[in-house]
Amino acid sequence: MSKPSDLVQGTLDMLILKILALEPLNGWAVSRRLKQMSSDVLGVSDGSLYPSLHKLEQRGWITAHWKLSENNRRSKFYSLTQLGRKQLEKEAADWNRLSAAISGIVKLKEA
Amino acid sequence: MTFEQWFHTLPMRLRSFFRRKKVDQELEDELRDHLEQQIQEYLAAGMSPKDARYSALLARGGMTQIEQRCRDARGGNVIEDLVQDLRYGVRQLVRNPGFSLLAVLCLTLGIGANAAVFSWIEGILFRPYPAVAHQERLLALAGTARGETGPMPLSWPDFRDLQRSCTLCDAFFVSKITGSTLDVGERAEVTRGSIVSANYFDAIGVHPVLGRGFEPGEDAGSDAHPVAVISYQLWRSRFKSDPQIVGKMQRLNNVPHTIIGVAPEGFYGTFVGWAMHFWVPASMEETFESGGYKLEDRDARWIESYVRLKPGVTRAQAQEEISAIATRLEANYPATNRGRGIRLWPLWQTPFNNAGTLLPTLEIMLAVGAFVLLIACANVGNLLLVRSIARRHEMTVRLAIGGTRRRLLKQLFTEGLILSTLGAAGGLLVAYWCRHALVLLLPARSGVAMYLPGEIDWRVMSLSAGICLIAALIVGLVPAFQTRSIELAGALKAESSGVVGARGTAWLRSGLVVFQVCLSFVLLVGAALLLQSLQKIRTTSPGFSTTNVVQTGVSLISAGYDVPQAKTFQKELMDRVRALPGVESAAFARVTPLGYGTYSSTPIAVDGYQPPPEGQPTVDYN
Repeated sequence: MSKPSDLVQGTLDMLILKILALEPLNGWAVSRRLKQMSSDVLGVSDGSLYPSLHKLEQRGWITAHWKLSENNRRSKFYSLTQLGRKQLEKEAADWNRLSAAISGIVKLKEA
Repeated sequence: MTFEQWFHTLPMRLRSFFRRKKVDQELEDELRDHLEQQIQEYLAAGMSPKDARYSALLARGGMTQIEQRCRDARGGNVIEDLVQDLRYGVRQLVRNPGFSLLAVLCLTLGIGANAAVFSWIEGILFRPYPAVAHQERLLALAGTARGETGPMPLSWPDFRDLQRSCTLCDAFFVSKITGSTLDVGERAEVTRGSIVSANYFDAIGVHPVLGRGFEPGEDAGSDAHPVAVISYQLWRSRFKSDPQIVGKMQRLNNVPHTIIGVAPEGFYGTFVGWAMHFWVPASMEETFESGGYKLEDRDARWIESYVRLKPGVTRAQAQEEISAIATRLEANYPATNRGRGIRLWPLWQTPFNNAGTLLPTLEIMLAVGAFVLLIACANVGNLLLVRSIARRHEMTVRLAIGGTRRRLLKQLFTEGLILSTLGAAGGLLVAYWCRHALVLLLPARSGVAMYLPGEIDWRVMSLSAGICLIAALIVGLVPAFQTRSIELAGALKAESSGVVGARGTAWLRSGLVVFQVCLSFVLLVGAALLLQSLQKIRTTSPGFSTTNVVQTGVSLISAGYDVPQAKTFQKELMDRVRALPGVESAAFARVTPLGYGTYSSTPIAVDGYQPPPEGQPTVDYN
């Protein structure tokens, strides 16, 4: 199984939830948005993005609707659910705790 | 997963499974949409349409892999895999009918033995009275006495006081086993019945299908209410379903009783061991019990009774209240009640019927059943293991082309599950056939066959289903050890040249055989000891010859004979039996040696002992 090599394991779900919390998007737009928002640092392959989206939908954190996009194409849009919002809060809090701890250690001055 | 999540997930999984085509189509559309947008982006960046398409396809990677991973993520595969495994498993079993039959028969035996024992435990110990309302709250009531280890009967006045003062119980009722010779038409036979309190039928929620039950007050007075309710079975067999039965007279223990009702079909009274066929009110106690009129005698202890707790009340709480009442009775009636208590028993420990005596037997049966099941599982596991060696090639190929071990385990477990489900179905059938078989192990006493029905209800079913699952796990996982040791490269080479078996498997196989032999040995030793005990019982000399001796019992007085008539009958019976060809000698006795019954002598005098004025000592002899 290939994992998104440039993403810390397990954070992809949180990032997708966060992006969808801003506005409902289709899969393509989610991958673009991730790239833009991280200033091209983070990227995700389609082979990871879509299984992730489907998994999140399965868990009830996001829902999907077929809508027409700006260029008049039928496109599957995902949006965050109430459950998903709670999950995002939880994961974001966990992430903040973890990253603060790690950066605290990394920044220690060597004697 | 939380419940809230399942609420979302379940409909989606079902949709993935049942509307698979549509879901797949949507996935394809979604991915194509993505591709188109990628192409648009490349075009906007100035690529030629051909290059844009090529680059976009390259960037996306393998469509099939993405689709498969999305399907895995959706989890619809769980059901799909299961259906596939089931289909494949059934095909495998049909292809080897001999093996399958053997395995299913083994498991049928194992699961059937357990299901039968469960049904007996349910029908005899836990829920012995299926027609009775709320029997799960029913408890047996018995007295205790200081210095006595065993439970004692209660006296009628004590029972009445208890009934009046107890607040935690719904119902108190008496059901004391008795018997009578029932003389209908040309045939007389010993029949079991109960002496009951007048509230009996109301208390247990059983309503006669013809006529009525007892009315309040019919359990008071000395031989005051000669009325009887008869069982449905008795009505059908001995009274030929007479629709005019209510109001007819029937002699019971030499006293004419008016039949006032017929109990519903399937109701056999409240006694573990025999089916009850008639019920008389406690006021008729003198007719059926020795010892005269006892309804006002606090010192005459003869009744067997039950209570039903109010909903939500525990046995301990009720016991506390009843003990307090018993203490009060002790203080109020020191002459009769000193040192006496009252105790509640769960139905499966009822001290005055056969529940208590059958408990250890059923416990042993439960243990034996577990052994038989383990042996059956080991046996089938071994069969599957041998077959899995033959299927090693198949497993290796599946692993080699990308099947995960988890998927293989699922497959093996499913195959075990198919076998054990068939075994469980057969087992329940066996249990159903055997539900009345327990009486075959117990001799009829006093000429009346015992009645010990098994009960197959949802509890027995779900326990059997649990056993079936455990069996499936054991049976399915034995061959799974085998796949653990497969090393692809080596195995593929070796398999193609037809070499089978590995050291690891051989070890497992011999382990299983050792396990099986051990268990069988334990069972064999147990069976041998049992046989030896039986042999000893059979050959122990009681001091007189027991070969070619048969015995039976007749109850003449209860059939309406007076003493001179009985004497004449006895003499005539003996003469006619002696005249039968093949009969060497015949004798008549009040009590048979080594029988269950005892008989009290006339009062005796003991040298140097002054008996109290109200009681002469007697001896019980046998």
